[in-house]
Amino acid sequence: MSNPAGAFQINVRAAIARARVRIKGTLHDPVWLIAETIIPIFSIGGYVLLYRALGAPASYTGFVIIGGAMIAFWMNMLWHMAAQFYWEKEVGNLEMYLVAPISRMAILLGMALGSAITMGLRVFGILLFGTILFGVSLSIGDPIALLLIFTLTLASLYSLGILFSSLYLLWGREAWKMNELMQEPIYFLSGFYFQVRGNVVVPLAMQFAAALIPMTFGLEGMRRILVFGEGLQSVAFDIVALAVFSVVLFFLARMMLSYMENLAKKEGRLTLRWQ
Amino acid sequence: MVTNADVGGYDVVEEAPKVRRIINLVSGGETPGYGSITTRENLWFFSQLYGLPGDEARKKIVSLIDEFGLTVYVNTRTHKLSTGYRQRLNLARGFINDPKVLFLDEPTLGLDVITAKRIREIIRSRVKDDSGRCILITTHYMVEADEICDRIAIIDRGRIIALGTPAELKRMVSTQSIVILETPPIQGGTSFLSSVEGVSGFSQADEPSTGRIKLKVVLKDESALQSVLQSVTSKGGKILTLSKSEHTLEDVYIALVGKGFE
Repeated sequence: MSNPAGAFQINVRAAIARARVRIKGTLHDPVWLIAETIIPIFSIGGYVLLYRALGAPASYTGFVIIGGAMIAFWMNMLWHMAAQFYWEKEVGNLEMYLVAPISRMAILLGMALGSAITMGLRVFGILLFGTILFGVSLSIGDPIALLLIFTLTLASLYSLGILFSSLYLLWGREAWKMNELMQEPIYFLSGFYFQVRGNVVVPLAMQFAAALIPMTFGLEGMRRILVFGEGLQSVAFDIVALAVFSVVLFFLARMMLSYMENLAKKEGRLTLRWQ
Repeated sequence: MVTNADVGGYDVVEEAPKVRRIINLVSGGETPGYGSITTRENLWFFSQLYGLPGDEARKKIVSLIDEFGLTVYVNTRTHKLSTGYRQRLNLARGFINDPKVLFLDEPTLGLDVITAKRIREIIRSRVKDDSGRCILITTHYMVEADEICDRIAIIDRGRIIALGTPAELKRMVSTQSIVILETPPIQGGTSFLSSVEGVSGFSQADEPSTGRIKLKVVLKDESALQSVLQSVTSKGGKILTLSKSEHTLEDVYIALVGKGFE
């Protein structure tokens, strides 16, 4: 190779390449677009009709649309990122990553970046269909606050994704059970389809438990901006909480990935199949 | 006891990132990459893991596609490729960073004769006249090792028991004789042969088309043949054919390890 690239440059190229694979792979399959943008409308529609039948305030419909859109990122982090790392091991890609002069973090960041872009399409689709079909009016009160909340939500979620990926290195297929175990309680606690914070019918203990999930802050902040038209000041707490989650989870994820990788190498099961 | 190791002059522990830039790995039977993208896109992806700049990557991909006969499938998604073409792609990927040391694990595993031959030709041409490049192959195909390897190590139970050029290894058993005999299946098996005096080792192959078994026996000297024939007939076998064989690497393996592949 002429002028060999530096370590940082190689890792950036690897992350971009992994993101491109994700995007290209997705775009090669148009069925995905229908499955990811049209199908979720059915479950969202169920909640919208229910709230309307119960005479709930119009803002509740907005909650559901935003929650339904953001579920994509949660699912993506759990299933398309952490579980995909297991798949990478099964097909032999992990060995290639270990042999190449790159950090595993670069690959995971690439996976996160690629899925954030493809999931962005889903979110856009749901917001568009949701607002047209159900007549929900969403307004961007403060674009900077919205951008901050959205970016930090993704950063904390994907850091959590990298953390889970390291568990897949160690547990293999067993880690799927953990995903299934976490899926529904987190849907419930973080309030994908209803507001958690300040909701009088949600017990305090549940609100406290919800505060341990970064998604709760992301959803709350986005709803305040998009449904109630509030600004930076009223979502400052959510922004700070998400920033703390992002930093702490990122460092935890790095430490855990390195620890699990070394442990798996020592025990010789990093490239074992069908664990 | 070995306390350190280096590859291409770099310490494998202290300078691992430098080692990784000059090595690559291809495992037979594995299909790394992504089935939802094309052959070209897969090669581009792997080129980026080694930081190849755009132009260099493109040139390298074009040349590998040509060398490995992948031109027809360059824009085909790889999940549609046959096993042989996937393995060609896998090998092309292994050369993407022009490695000084390439590890090939069973590179022709499960491939048809023509594809396997083509792959062996490519491997051979890659190291021909290039003393700075090394390809380390692990294989169970002795014919393959004989055809493409300059130096061979025979490993048994994790230990190297012989090391040398194919000719050197064959000379190790040149004083020994190899006979091939066919017999109907023997009740109780053929393990008794290993205790016959003068037998270095043997292998057995079933011949379903004739219902016979073919025994390849390595003898320390030809005088042991009589004992072998007697023991086979005394165990209920019947000598249907008997011939003498030229030395091959498989004979070396049998003579050294004491048994055929299991």
